[in-house]
Amino acid sequence: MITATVDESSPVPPFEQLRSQLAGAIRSGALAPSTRLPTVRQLAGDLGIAPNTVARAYKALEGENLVRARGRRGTVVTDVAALPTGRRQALVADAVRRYLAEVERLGVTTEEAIEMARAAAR
Amino acid sequence: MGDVVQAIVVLVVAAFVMGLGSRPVGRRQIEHFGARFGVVVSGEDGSFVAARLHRSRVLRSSAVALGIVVGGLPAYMNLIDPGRAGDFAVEPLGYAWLFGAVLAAVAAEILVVQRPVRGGEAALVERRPEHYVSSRWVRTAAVPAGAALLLFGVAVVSTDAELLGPSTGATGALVTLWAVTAGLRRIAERPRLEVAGRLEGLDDALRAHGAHHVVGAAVMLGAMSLLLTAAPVLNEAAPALNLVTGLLAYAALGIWYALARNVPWRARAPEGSTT
Repeated sequence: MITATVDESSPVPPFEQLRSQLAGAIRSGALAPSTRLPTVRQLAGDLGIAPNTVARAYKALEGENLVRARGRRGTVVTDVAALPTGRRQALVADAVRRYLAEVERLGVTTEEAIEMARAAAR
Repeated sequence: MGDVVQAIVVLVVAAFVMGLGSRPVGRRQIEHFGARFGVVVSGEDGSFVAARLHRSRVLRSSAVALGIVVGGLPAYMNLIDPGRAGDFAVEPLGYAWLFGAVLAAVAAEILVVQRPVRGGEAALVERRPEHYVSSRWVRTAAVPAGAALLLFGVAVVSTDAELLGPSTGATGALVTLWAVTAGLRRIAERPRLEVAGRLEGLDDALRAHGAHHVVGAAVMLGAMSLLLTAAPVLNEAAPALNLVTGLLAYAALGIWYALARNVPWRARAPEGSTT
């Protein structure tokens, strides 16, 4: 069973602790695409934190396209394969831009970064 | 004098209902609870379960008793309708005991203050009402309630005033729908006792127990709401059908009893679910 924990004594805010754990579980595939996440109230109650904290973490994950809110029908892990091609390409382009921005910050040129990506994929 | 005797009878019935509900929860009931929901209740946890079952039962029986007094006393004492003094079901108060049963079944679950044993940890799995009570029973409560609202709506827009019964049926339908949506959601969403361990099974069993009580009472109220709303229409179309609908009320009473007390349910922690 996949669980999330919140350490109140940690300097990392509870919202960020939750967001990073959920993001990790989704990216690693531990939480499969289309999996329904607990409702905000349920998760907040189980963790003993404010519902707003959970809602904020879900909102941030939605911003990263990792989950999709469906109103009263809850929040589900985004099934990227089921997205329309255009939307999927937009997500990939967004990920590439973030990657390039990060490597630029680290002092690596775009060409070098592409070469490094190729090498990593081999 | 007769009125006073009748009033005393109503009070005695109400006191009897309260007395039944206030009895302590014994070992046999705990064993029945464990067998019904497929959990082992050890001696250590027995008193915890007994306290929870007792508390919810006292709430439910108190509300039913209050409903009997509210509904029965004025009717029997000729305060409402002297022509129907002996009719227990003088609307709308006559159905107060039934409203009380549903509202208290939900209240008993809402008022549970449950803090996780090990705080700060949660399973990333959505708990849903269907994990604790069959969707078939939820539909059994919701469909008649929806039909009652539909009938009430038709009667409201029709020009035939005789089709429009008292609004008790529509109110009952709304309470029924609220119970099987918000009430059941509250049961599923309340904090877990423990993510994994001894109390996990008990936690699910207590949720299932509460859900069956809520849905059982809602089935009864939903059916009664439909019968109340349909009565004017049936009277106009085929009075003989009233006998059938009357029998349906008894069937609904039986379902209520079975769901609240006997229908088994294997409550287990929900697995990760996908859409």
